[in-house]
Amino acid sequence: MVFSSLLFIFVFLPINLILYYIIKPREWKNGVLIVSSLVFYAWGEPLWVILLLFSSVVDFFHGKIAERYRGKWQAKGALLSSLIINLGLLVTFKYSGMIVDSFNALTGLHFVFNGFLLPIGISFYTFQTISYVFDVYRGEVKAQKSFFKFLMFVSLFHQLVAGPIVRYKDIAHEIEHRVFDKNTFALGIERFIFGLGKKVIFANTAGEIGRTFLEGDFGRMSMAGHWIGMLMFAFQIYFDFSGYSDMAIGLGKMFGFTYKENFNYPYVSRSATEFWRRWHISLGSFFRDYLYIPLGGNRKYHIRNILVVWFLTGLWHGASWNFVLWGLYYGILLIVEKGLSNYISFKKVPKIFGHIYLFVVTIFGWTLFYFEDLTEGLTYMKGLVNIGFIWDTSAEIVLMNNLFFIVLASICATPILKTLGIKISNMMNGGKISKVYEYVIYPFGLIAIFIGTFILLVGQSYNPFLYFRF
Amino acid sequence: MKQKIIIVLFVFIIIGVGCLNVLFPSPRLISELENRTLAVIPELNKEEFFTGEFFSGIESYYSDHFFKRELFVMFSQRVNEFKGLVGKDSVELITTLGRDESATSDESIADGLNVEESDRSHEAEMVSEKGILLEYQKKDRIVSANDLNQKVRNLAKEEIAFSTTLEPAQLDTVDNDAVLEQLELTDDGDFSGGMMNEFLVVNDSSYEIFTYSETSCAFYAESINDFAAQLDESDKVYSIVAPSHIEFIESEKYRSMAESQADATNFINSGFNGQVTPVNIYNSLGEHSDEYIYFRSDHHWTALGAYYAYTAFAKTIGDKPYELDAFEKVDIEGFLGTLYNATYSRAVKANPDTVSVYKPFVESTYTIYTKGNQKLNYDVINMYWKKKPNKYMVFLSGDNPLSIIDTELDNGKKIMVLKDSYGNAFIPYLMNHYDEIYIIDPRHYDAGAITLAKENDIHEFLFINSAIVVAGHTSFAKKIYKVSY
Repeated sequence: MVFSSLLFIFVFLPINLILYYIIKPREWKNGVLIVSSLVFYAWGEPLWVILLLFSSVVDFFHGKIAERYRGKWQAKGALLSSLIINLGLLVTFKYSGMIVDSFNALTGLHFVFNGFLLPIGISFYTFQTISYVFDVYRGEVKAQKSFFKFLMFVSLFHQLVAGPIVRYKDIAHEIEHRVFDKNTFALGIERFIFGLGKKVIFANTAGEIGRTFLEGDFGRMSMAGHWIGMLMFAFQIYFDFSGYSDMAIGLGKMFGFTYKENFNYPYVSRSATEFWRRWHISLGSFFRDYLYIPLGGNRKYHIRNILVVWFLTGLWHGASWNFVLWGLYYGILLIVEKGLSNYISFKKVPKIFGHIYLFVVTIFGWTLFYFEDLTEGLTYMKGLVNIGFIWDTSAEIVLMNNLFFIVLASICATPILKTLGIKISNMMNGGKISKVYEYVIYPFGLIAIFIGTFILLVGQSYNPFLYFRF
Repeated sequence: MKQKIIIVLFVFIIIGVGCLNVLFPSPRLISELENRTLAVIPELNKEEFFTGEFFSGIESYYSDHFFKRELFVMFSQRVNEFKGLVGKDSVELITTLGRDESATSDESIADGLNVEESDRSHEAEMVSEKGILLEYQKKDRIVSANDLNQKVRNLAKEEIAFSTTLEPAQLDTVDNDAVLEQLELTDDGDFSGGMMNEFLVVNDSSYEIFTYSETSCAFYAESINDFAAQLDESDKVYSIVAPSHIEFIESEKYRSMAESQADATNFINSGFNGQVTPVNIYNSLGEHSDEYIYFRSDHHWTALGAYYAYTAFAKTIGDKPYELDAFEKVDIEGFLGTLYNATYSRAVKANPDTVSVYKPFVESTYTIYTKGNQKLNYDVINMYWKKKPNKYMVFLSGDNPLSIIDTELDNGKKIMVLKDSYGNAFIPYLMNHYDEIYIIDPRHYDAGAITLAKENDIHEFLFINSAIVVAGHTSFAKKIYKVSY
């Protein structure tokens, strides 16, 4: 099941909310969440829900051991065991096909192994449980005594299938104590609606538009066509993924959980370094806290650490070498930017250059990301710089047909509207207009967006989440 | 306070609409607006449970039968028009996922025929467990609901085929609407997956953007050579490759968005061996390109376009073509065809096509052997289809495995026509020249065409297919090989 499905919005969610808020005892409320989360997960993965349960059981006990024997070798053993088991699961279910293919390519042998159909969310929940054991081992949080509460943490449907990666210690308190607060609930609804809108209005539409070029005959496409196509993918993946995170955060709030932000308008960045502080923040910080820093961070073997982290960041995104290259691409850019910052003061560079730089970097980056076949990716990149054939009729027509969409999407990828909203609120400052805005315009506007979005959803047939392959 | 309003409204809507769906389910089978069958409740069986197909089936069912769905679909189509501008030509470029190839359900494309398709880099054909040919965008990418719809459609077809074989085939005339409806549901059209996915709408006309590969062209020519090689040396084999609308579009700017069908046809023709005679209909069509020779909302040519092809063919076989006014003309209005379904263009919808039929004046009996193993007798031009959406089916009642026209002519001339749906508008003109016409659609015919020809003493053969189908894909040629014995 996905959040942007009619079944989820009009059946699963209302039933969940009703049950959760009608049932009074806290233990039973948790029970509702556990049951519904497992149903949610099993809906898309009826067989491999077993892995989820297995991972939860295993790490629940690892946590206990790590706490009990803190400081002694058993604790270290528990951490190691957790890493081996979780990463083992991940490698087996996600990367085995890739490993076999690469082995064959290197040795010229022909082992046949079809690989598993990737269980949904495995890249997320294995990382979540790893972070738990790590944090308990380091004494940053106390181990959860109740298996059910732990299971609830792991399986919580809000963030299970496509993030953000939520660390146990961030919601440890809320697991025990959640209070209903209408402000938070309303903010949750608002967040959910914005996320749904991003997904349905922007991501899905961008996906459709991009198809013309991303699946076209590259040999006959102009340079402009290549750029438009990849721009659409850039929109699609941003609105898709950040929209999903918004919905996750919004749902969390509706049930009393606060998750950390996962995206902070990454496309307003002026460097790759800044981009990765704003994109998929929970993943970046995971690798920073659990890999980069333990490896030595910027104190020992700095370059090596950066490359390892980015190799793995790329690899996490998909079981294919193009993703690794994508990760390393950014790793190297980061190193270069860091190096250059010693000689150039970036603050003095006019902002527009930074934006252009980032735009170009991102488009080429997404090209690496989009094409699993490296030769295709290379062909596409050549098309991006093909000054011999800059413009053609298809590019012209598509640009014209989607002009308003592109402008609107660009605006919504920046915080302009948010800032504007705050400025307007401040300007009105309590007068009558302010009341009308607060009680009528804003709520009804929000609900109107929601209604428009689900109507569009009915009309759309193409609606999968891109980050679902994790 | 505003929080309370938001909460109340939101919760009310999700519960309210949820309830409406339960209280007012709409158990329809077909969406006329989208021209597809709607999802049915999936059956619960072990395999589908564990692969998750059962659950996604429920989701499809839920959204396909959503409260006021048609209204919402229309609304969302309208909203899509606000994405940008259309310019003075009201031009739009629409890309949709390719529809599936009309393969029979036990047909596998890996059927021993290997062709390198190196110049279509984005094609990724896969055969699903049921042997149904589906097209995925990329091999790992998630399947669209288009594919899901097609799967449902095929399931519906299987059910119908099953039910028609339950009643033993009656050899008398079966002439009721129910059977005809089944014919309609089993008509897959001839979109070949992969090529059929870019559409241009200019003012009130829609066009498919044509591209081709030399490999497919060569393969098609080879398949016909192979067929011809098994015939007697004196047998005549003709080939017509029919161009589509975009080849003749007035504006060079839009014409250049597509590849040249003339080039593709020439390439095919250059691949024929001596026994095969290509028929040039291109010039004949070109001279009349400002007439209504192609539909605006459908990928086929009109009967008028087919007529101009017929005149060229008649001259090739050394006969005099009949004048157009020799036929009684009947107009059927309000036709919105395949290209409308692909684009949902409001401009196209506002000016629907008229199917003009030039009724044959030669008496005949027309027998259809359907996929459901039924033998039917209809008129060659079947006015039953006048009141159905897919009005092109008045010509020969669609694509059937085998059909035979037995005219009142007694000249002993027989011809076998192997065709895709472009042939349907063309074949009626042959009735003025031939005693018997055997019509085979290689995609659906499950036996040997050459055997049939020899049994019935046929020595003239015509391959009439559209460039769209044969120049871009190898699937059709593979089907020719399939019946080539």
